[in-house]
Amino acid sequence: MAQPVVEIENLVKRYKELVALDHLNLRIEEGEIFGLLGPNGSGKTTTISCILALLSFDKGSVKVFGKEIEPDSYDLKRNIGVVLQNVAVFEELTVYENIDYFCGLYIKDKATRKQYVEEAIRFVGLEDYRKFLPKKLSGGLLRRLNIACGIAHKPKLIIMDEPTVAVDPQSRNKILEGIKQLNAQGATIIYTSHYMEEVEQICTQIAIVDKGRKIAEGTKEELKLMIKMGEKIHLDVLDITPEQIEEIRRLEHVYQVTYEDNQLQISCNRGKHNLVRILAYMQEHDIGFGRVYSELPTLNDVFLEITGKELRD
Amino acid sequence: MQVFKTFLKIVKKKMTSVIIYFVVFVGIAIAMAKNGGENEQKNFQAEELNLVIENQDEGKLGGALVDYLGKDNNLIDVPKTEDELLDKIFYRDIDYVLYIPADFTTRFTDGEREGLLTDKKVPSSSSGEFADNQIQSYLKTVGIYLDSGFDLSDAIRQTDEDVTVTAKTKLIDDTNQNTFEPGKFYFRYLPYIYICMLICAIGPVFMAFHETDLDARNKCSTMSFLSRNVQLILGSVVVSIAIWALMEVVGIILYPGYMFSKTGFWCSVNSMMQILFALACAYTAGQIVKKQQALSMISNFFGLGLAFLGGIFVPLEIFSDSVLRVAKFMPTYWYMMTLEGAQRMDTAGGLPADAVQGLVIQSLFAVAVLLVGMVYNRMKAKA
Amino acid sequence: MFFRLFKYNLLRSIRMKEILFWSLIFPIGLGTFFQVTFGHYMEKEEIFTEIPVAYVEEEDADASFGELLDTMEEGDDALIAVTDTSMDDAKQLLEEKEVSGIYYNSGEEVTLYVKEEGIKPSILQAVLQEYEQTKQTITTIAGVNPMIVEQAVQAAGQSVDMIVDEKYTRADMDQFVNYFYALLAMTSLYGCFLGVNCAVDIKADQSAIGARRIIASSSRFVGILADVSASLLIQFVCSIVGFVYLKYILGVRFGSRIPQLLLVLLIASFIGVASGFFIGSIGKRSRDSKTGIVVAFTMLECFLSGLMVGNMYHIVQEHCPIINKINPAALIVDALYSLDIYDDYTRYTENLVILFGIAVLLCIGSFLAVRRERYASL
Repeated sequence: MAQPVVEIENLVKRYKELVALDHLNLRIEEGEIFGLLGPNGSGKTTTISCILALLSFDKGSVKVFGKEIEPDSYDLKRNIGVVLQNVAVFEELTVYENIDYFCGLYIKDKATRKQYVEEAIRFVGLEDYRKFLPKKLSGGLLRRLNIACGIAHKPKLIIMDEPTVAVDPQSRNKILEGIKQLNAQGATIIYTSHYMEEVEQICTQIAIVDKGRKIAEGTKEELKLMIKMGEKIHLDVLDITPEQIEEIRRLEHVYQVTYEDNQLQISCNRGKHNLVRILAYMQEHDIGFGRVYSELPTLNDVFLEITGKELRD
Repeated sequence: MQVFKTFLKIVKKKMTSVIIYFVVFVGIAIAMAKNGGENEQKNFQAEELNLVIENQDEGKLGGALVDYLGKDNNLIDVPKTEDELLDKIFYRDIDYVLYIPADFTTRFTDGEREGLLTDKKVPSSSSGEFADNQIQSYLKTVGIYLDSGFDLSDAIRQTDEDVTVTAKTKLIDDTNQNTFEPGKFYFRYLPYIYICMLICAIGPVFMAFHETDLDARNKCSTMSFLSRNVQLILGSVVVSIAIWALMEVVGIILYPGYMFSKTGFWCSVNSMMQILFALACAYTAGQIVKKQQALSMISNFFGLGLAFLGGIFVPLEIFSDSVLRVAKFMPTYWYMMTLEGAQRMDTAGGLPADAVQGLVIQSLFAVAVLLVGMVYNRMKAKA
Repeated sequence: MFFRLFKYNLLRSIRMKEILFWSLIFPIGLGTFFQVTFGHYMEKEEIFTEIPVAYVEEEDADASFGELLDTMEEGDDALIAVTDTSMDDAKQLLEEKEVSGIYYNSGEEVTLYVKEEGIKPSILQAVLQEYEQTKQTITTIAGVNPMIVEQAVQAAGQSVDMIVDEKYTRADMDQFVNYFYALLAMTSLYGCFLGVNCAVDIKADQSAIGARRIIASSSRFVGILADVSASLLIQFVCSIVGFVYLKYILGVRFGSRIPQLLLVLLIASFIGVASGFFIGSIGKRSRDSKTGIVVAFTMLECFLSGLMVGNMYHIVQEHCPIINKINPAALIVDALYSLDIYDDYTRYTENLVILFGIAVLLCIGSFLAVRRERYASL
């Protein structure tokens, strides 16, 4: 197997009493869009900070491009681009100047830099805002500027820590498209988020973390196969007796039924004809129902099943 | 009481610089209470000059001159180095340096008069002129006796006798006698420290409460405009009074007798007026400024500016008339008026009218500055 | 690399208008206050001018004192300026401080009335005393040898310059210029604001920008160097603007050695930025809290160098001279002072060397603090 881009072994980080990372192991291969999924406070940002040699840690090792990373590993850092959770741009510099400033921390050649900065501006779609100061930008545009600053120097490894927090849908789609595009151009991407939809949408490999530990890893399909849920069926039902609910639960492949606010939710194992069987039961017992739809399991279901709690707090 | 609690929380975060100001001020107040006396008087009682005399005269006259000058002036040892001499002249520790050459007596008795002695002084200063005058006058008299046929010893003896004649001088009004009172000294510098402390501590709160997002959130909340503002006012008054009370306690520890006198009472009232003015300044600064760093700069600028123009750092006596007119636009000037007035209390019985006036004008200043801040706030809200 | 970062830092500092505004207002505004308050103090109080005095003579009084005053009034270097008037008017003049004293010649004796103590009343007293004294002298001589009284009276009336004034410095020894030295020191030390910003912007645990810069592939040292140099340049320019205003607009007498004076401002600005950078580099407090600390500290330095009480430097020198050797503000004030007062450069150079040394130490200290720093928490 080729050398991994990032290799984290047995990483432990404590903040006084709190164990933020508990023997974490991660291996990120070249060309992946690696999703780091977990609720707030699960250690995602701490992991990122360790990869970047910002934080000191208590145990374990972090290797980037095969080498231990240190605060002055400038050769390694040259190939890393970071989009941090907090917007980090200079208030007093314009959009263009900000990107040029941060790009210039990596690229010394003037002509190349100019070209890269232009490409970054086009990439995030800020062509019309070159001379704007950051405080004149809306939240979404500001996030895009934040991204441009992190990736303008065309790094091989791009780390994005919740880049879509507080971003309008239009900007969010633009950002997600952009990430795929960067990946297509050859960059390996680490993407942290607590929005499972986003992770599902773009990540090729996903690790779910909770309380500083990796609790599952794989492609989204692999992750979904890990749990027993095969599909979830929703029915709008106005009138149903507890006995009937109990009978539904005893149907083949069904393992959980809830009834709340006239909504019947039925979780089924992987099996065939689940929906047909349930609809047949409803007809048979003359239970009236409205809208019906069936859902495949989401990463939230995966998380819920493994940890017993929702991904979103 | 949410707003009030938040108010105190923000103030707590700004305590570091307030504490530094406090510690430094109290430290200086203690140091000054010990040796500030000479300092204060120096500007007013210059008639005793500080002289350095280097007497190399081999005859009698030089010594006689030294003795004569020493009677009404302070004679200071010759500094070791020329630099030290210059420093002392610059800081007015030395008013005048006189060099008496070895052949002074010989040349004088030979009838020579012009250019016998050399001096160093602050160029064309009054004190230099005064010293010149004393020396010339003494020597002239000796000269007259010599020329009239007296021998040197007799001439000196006669002259020394003549100079005991004193001119009749009457001081018409002696209210201007400046006796050093450490308690007054303590109160004198309070306005500066109040302005610095309050702008540092309270300015940021108003700045935070008027930051656009927070302001909007506050306005959207269910809390009424009145309730919110009442809490803000309560917060600032509590903090101001706490600082005021703290300084009072320090004052009582340092100068208990002074503080519990009538004078001390009115000085305290006076300083409370001043802290209310400082509070108004802090409020207005918090409205106008957007950055904490600018707030620090403002506090120094206004603190120092008001202290200088109001006659806190430099005595009002040295102000020219036109400056005095400008000074009247400084609340610190009125603070000083009341402070001076309160010192005259015991003879007059009650608080003199000009001191009462000072209190009233200070409160008017506080209201005026507060209004500026409020108007600015309104204008910003509409813009 | 260096120049680009340098350029961007300049650009940012210039756009921080609020900070820049107050940095400039400080020397200009306070300088104006100073000038208004005591800029003319020396002319008013210290520089010797003829002393105005009222003379009230009762009828039939001995005219000799009046004649003496007349002679004293003559000439370019007259000691007094006399107004002949009535007692009531004289008292009014004295009350309004139009005259420094009243000579009242009742016929039997001459009395001096003054309203306050001080150098001018003292000189008036000396004049009267000299008159009484001379009268005494003449009487004595008359008793011994009446033949030469005429000669003695004549001698008494003559003025002889027995004392030669020695020029010992080019400066005019205006003590109040000390306030302006301290003001220049304060202005330059205001570089601490920029210094704190330099530090906070490079520390990952203090600002997001710090984090972003630290993870970049360029040397931290070059970044710091560029930021500090740019801040120094900005501060130096501010100090120069302040100085130009004080010297050329307000006419403060700073002496004539301008290049050497500018060098003091440069090093002073350096130590200002360095102190801010040092405080900014150590510890985890917020930007604002660090600024508060460094400003309060700077004010203490300035107080001890005489910004609030003019002869504070001298008081410290008497009681605890070591403080003046390590207090940056005092060193700046003394460098400016010695430049004005002394001909040779020994003390000036000594001050600058110590200042520079302290600044370099602060820089080394801060650089060690941020070098290869990993954070325990962000």
